[in-house]
Amino acid sequence: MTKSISKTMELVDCGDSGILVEFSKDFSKTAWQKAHYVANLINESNVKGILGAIPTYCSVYIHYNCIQINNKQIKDFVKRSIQEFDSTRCFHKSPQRFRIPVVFGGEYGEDLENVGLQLSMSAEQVIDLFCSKHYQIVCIGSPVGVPLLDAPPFNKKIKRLETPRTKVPNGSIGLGGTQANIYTLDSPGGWQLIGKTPVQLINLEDSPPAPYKAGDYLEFFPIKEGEYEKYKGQSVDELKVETE
Amino acid sequence: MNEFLKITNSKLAAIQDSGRYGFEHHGISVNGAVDQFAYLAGNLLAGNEFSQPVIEVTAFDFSMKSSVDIPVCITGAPADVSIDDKPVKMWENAILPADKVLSIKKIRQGLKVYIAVGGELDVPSIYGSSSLDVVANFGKKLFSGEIIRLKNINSIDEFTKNPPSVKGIPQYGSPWNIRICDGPESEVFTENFDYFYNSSYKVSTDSNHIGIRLKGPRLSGYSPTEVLSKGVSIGAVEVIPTGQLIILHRGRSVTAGYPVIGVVASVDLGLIGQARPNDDVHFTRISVDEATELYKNQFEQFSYLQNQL
Repeated sequence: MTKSISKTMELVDCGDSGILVEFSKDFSKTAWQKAHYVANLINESNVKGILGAIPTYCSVYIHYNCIQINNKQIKDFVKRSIQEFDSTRCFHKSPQRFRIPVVFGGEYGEDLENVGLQLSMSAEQVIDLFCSKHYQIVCIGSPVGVPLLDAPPFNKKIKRLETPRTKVPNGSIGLGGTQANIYTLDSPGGWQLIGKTPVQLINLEDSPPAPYKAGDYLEFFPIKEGEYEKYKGQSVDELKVETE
Repeated sequence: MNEFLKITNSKLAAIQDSGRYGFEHHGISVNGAVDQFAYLAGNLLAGNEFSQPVIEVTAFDFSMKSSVDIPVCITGAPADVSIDDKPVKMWENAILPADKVLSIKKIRQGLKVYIAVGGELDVPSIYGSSSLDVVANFGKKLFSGEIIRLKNINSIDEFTKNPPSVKGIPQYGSPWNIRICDGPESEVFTENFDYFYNSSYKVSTDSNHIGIRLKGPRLSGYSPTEVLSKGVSIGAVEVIPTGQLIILHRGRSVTAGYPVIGVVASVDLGLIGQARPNDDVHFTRISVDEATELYKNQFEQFSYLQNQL
């Protein structure tokens, strides 16, 4: 058991201040769980010299100060902790679920038509298909609390923009490759925008700034342009679905 | 008390510190002073016990006054520094007397100059840092006319009696010789190493503290050109699909999806951040052990300032 785990785990130095722990080259649920398991252990343990652990799809990047701790100590820590890997301890026992209202297309999602062309579908079909899935949050990205979601149920990768926008409005829903995300601030970005939510995802007075975590679920439902104002300013917390 | 600095001329300056740590897994970038050696040296020389926020001046002339006598230290790229029109040496402590003008002019051989004061700047902190994050809109750019309150000003007697000193001040200016360690995808580029390490690059004008774009020979013939998004180093040398190189700096997004040919050694991270547009850059490949030794030799003197990290 332990052997097979270490066989599939690669620990690579990234210069003198980082180690990348890769559990797989391609996305797999187990690799993803292991990455988050290790990251949680590190981020909760406050080891002197470890500056942070960033988990993503199937790897975790560990950022450290080489004066306070060395790469061998960190690698040993990771090797030891992965032996205790427990897939039930990676995420919330009962994941949170949030339902996100979205105005699709038009000025809210300028690339909806383009995405339809890429998928040979009508805009309505793109919306229906996109809203048919309950997305799991794979990890959190920059600039602040951006939920990176697992793949929408399309049969093709979505091309990124050739020239990224310098400012994508807060709340925009973006598609890129086999991923989807929500922009949490006005920020630059190169993903195709299909819609926009009036809901405020992050709160910079809170720590952490987002109420959702990796492993939680987001669902999207279409609203009419006229309903945008009704939801505007609501926090994502208010749209949490109580699970039985 | 009512002690303060008044910024009298500022075009491009901001409050900076060690950076925003502990929130990278929430997507928040580290940021902080681009040249950490100069930042920490300033704190040490100004007699601070912990690293305090400083003023980072970029490229353009800057001046300020204090309402009270205060220890100061100016570090970073060479510049003409004066107090009350009398020249002041950089990397040495000085006293800024009340109501006299501290002026920084003609920043050269680099972009960033740091003003550390002996004492505390009373500036807001968010997620553990006062540093500027222009994407998340954290921190503070400084404009002419602005007032910054001061707290806990260090004793000037103590400061002049036992002036601290700093060792290992780097050589600023083009050409920048930047040391690089292998990174997570270096294997992808083994065929490109000779070419990369023997080429000379120029800093592109669209560079900043998020990414330094390089003009020069492009890399080709490697694969893959994109990888699954993963956490990425400050200092990572990314190769984008056109073969062009971008060095990610302290304001980088925490994850990225382009392959990384190498990572700038921590000891040289501040220097590449100082490089001006059109400066020449070349790279030398060193091991992680060598990089660690170099960093320790230069930065261990600051350890007591960073114990909060």
